[in-house]
Amino acid sequence: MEFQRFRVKHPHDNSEVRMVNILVHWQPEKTDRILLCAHYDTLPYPLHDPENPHGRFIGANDNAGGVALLMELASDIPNIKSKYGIDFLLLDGEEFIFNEHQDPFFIGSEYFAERLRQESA
Amino acid sequence: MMIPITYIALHDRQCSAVDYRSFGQNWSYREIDEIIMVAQLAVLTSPWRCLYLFMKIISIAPYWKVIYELASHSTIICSPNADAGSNCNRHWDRSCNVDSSRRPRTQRAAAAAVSRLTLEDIPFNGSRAYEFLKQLCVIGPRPSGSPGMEVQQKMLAEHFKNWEGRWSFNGFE
Repeated sequence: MEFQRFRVKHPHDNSEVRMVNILVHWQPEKTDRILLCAHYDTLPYPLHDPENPHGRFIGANDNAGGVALLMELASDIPNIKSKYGIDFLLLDGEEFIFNEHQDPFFIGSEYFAERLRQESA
Repeated sequence: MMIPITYIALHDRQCSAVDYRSFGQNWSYREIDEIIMVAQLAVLTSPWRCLYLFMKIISIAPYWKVIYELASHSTIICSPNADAGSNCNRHWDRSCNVDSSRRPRTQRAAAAAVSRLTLEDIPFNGSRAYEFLKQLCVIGPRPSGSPGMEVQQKMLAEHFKNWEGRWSFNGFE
């Protein structure tokens, strides 16, 4: 298991926000790999809720469902015989969004991709 | 209630939710979207929408057959490939007696893509996954940097370390 820790500025108050991508490597020695991803952060607020856009948002469908899927898959992965290794990637900062017209999506994804690019170079 | 428009077949045209736009060669995107929209309104049958619906039907009179079919069924609709004379009632129904070679290309592709696996063949415990889902939601909001996110991170780390450990221990090849 690997934790990619990084820090970003809060889009509104410029405070420091710590983020973590969680990587789970199954059979890390295999070079051909399949990457399964899910973001595990939730929106700060239900921005598209017409009645209460600053209400409480627990993200059952966005994206606890995806995380739960990977959690359950973990119990089956050891029984899969494949020439491929498998990585689970749980992404932080996918939707650290307070204003969807100006705040960036996919912070964790971009960090992961940039790290991968640097390590591959 | 929105109706599931899974498959729409006209008397001389077919369209599907997958790429229905590609079938209506002579229709613009807007026309097809209007048909879909009006069809959805039709099954709602809310009185205050009747006037609007009526106006819509007039405006797209050439498609009245679609409207009629959609409005008279709670779900849609399949009379795939009118040339083959079939009238099955489920989209991509493999029991349908339509000669598969005469089905639209996308329909054939969809039928071919149907897996032979049953749920019993798939080693995935949906109930347990649902329990995980509930455990995550019980934490509450989990935006980046929040206390809820920290709780979730610890939960996930413990969960995956547990399985990762078993993996290493089993170490099958």
